Amino acid sequence: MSACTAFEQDLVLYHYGECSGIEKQRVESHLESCAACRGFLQELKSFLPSTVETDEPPPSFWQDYSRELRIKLSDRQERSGGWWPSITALFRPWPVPVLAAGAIVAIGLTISLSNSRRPEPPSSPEYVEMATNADFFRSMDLLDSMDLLESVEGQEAQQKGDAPAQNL
Amino acid sequence: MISRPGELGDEALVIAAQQGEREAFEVLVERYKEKAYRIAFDFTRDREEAKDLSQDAFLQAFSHLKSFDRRASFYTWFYRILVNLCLDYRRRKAKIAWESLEERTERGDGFASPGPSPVDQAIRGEISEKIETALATLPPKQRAVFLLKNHEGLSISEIAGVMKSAEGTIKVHLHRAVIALKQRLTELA
Repeated sequence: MSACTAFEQDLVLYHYGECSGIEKQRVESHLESCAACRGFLQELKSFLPSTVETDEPPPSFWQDYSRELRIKLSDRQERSGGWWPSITALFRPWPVPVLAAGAIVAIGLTISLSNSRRPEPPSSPEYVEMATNADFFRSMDLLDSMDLLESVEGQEAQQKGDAPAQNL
Repeated sequence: MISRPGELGDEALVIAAQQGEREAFEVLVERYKEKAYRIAFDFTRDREEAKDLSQDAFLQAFSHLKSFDRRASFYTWFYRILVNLCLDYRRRKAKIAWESLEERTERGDGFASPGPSPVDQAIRGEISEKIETALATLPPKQRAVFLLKNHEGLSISEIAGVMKSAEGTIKVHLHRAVIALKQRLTELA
């Protein structure tokens, strides 16, 4: 059913409760005398609510929704700023290799300087052999060479005539 | 750290969130998530899409919160973000549908739109399908105004704030949308 052209928009607003004051009085006064507009209003009341189709997700949906959004907000905050990124920045690309390189240079300098000041060891055979073994173990990972350490100690003892022979 | 954030009004929560209190923003999320989801569902008619769109709106609001000057209410500003995302979604969907139609035309499949499958039609109901078809024919802004008014019950002034339009413009959009829907549903009946 078609409404009067002059009232059509107002009838839509009236249906939604958006008419007030003088406009509302004007519409209601017109409705009293116009069957077409009454019919039009009745059609709006019947078909407009039927256009609404809602979705009612279960409670578990909302729990997942909140949880997912919290994770996304954390990611967004981390990417955009805040205190956490300033701390993690310390562990990011360029500071680490620069610091590491500096540390290596400092250690190397310390070792070379301390080596240059070390007194010459005595040149007797025992000390030469001990120095050779000491150098050997300094060049190895002691945890991996415990067997070899024991065998060297066994050889030293054998040379002194105290310990039984050890199989390598 | 704010105590009892759930008892604070939107403005106080926004101020706290702008100062770095993420908990305050999460209260706003809990307060508006269902409404945001419903609006997104009105546009998408798909649960997962609606979830993604509404969550994207919250993320955008979070990212731009510091630029929110609080002249409008939080929900008006937030719904504006959400509606823009929904309108953009519809544009992308329409573009994909159009490109798909062009491809089918080039292949010689004709102009027939694929339409809903028989199973979908049975499940969703013929009336529901007609309503969705009718709604889909509305221009984007008319559809947005209609959904916000008819489905979500926002006032004309609220819709005007969300859409950044004059109230008179919103009334015209609403009127045209209702008349177009009425006519379309009559044709489909």
